[in-house]
Amino acid sequence: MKPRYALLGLATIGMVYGFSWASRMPGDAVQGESARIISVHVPTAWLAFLAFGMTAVFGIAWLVTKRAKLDHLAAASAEVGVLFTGLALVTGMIWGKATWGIAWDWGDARLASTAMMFFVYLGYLALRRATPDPVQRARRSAVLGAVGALQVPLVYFSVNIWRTLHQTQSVRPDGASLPTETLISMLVNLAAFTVLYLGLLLWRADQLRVEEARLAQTHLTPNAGAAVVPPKLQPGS
Amino acid sequence: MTDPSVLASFLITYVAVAAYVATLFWRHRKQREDL
Repeated sequence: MKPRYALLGLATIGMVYGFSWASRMPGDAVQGESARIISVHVPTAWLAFLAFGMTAVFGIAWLVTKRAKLDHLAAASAEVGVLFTGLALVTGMIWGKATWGIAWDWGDARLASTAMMFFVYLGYLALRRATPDPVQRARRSAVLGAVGALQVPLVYFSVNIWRTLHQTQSVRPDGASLPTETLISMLVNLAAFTVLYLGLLLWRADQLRVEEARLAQTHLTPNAGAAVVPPKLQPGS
Repeated sequence: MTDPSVLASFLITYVAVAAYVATLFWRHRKQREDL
């Protein structure tokens, strides 16, 4: 069995287990039932950070080694990152509506910076589609991936730098401000989603490798029209 | 787990992940057919 299928199977089991923990955890005194959303919102947000961080790492590694596999991994990681950033935004909006009474506030540093990061990586994917040459595409996207990843610490620490609507981190090096069941539920889902990311990353990177190999082959094969030579006109005809 | 906002959050996440996996599977099958 290929590692990606094993990882996806393991992630599915982990997500089912994570869901059972989320349904068992107690509701919060202030947030009520909506506190359970943290079990899915935090893992998706974590994956956004991880995926974009890895996009930068793979991109920089490509700039150094020029190995095509690293470019495929960077692109796959960005694609998965966009999916999970979108999910983090949607689940965050649902949580915000239930807890704060509003789904979105452009004045909030965490929300606005996450949206900006989402659009930057949509731009990353657009840049890749707009650049047909594989080397040029890899170079341009590696630079954008490395610059774009500067947003990751900015988004993460935005809740500490600008004290707006979004609360600060619930889990810090000096301890967690969450009930044990909530923390376990969040961590189980975090582990399951990380395994899911690895499975999706390997699968998508492999597909990009096949796609690029096929495209290279298509460009090497002369098309049928190339064999047709226009007739030479005889003088006086 | 009866709260609509909680159900919606989990459902949207799982459906989106399943949809992405389905696109990967579809691309994988297409690539195999094209070979």
